[in-house]
Amino acid sequence: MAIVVKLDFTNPYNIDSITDDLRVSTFRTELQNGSFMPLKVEISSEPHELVPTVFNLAFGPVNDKGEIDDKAEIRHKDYSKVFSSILLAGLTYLSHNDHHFLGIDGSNNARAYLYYRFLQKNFDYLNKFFDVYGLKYYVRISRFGKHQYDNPFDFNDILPGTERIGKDTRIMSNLMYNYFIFNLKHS
Amino acid sequence: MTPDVEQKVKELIEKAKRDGIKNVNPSTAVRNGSSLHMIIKTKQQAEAFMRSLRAAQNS
Repeated sequence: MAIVVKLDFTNPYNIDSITDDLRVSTFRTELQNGSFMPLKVEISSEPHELVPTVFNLAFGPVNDKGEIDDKAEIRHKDYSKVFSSILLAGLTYLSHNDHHFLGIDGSNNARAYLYYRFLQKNFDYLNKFFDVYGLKYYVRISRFGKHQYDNPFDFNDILPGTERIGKDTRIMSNLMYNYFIFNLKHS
Repeated sequence: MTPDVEQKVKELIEKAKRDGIKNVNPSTAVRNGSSLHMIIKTKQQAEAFMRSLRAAQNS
């Protein structure tokens, strides 16, 4: 089933809690089976190890240690509302930290591609608030199974700097960015 | 920022001021990466990884 996301920051879920530094917030998403699940949005307190000035934004359900499970597969009833809530939390943080950048990790290639599609479908809306960049800072492992003992690394598919994502930016799914970076749009 | 979105941002900031909780235990700091990617910054690290793979293969 194709997931359609139409971002609208005026229609998020109610935020249940938010820290006074605006880094951590929680809300409950409604699932397709009618139940509710708490989700946590957390912006790292430390800049990214490899990309200074970028603070990682992670989201997802929490495990019993309170850690975000960013690999969880959840069937949301309203993906638009979920991602609007997550990005509104990011926008709120950036409104008080306007020299920071936020980074969202694609977690895996399929999810990175999904995020990229969300960005493209909502480009005009997002472009009112953010500048968005893509980054490939991982060396992609291009082979698995019995061939992984040959050199599996694709050193040709690394992007050492950020690349501004525009409305017409096209990138093949198998060469997808693995990290998306946002900063507040300064007009 | 459009006025309606600015209002939503203000509401969140007000909520954080009003009943925001002091946070956060550093142990909950966000993790980067996942098992599906490897962060390998240099070819030397990649070569070290390859050596470990081959050692595992030969063991």
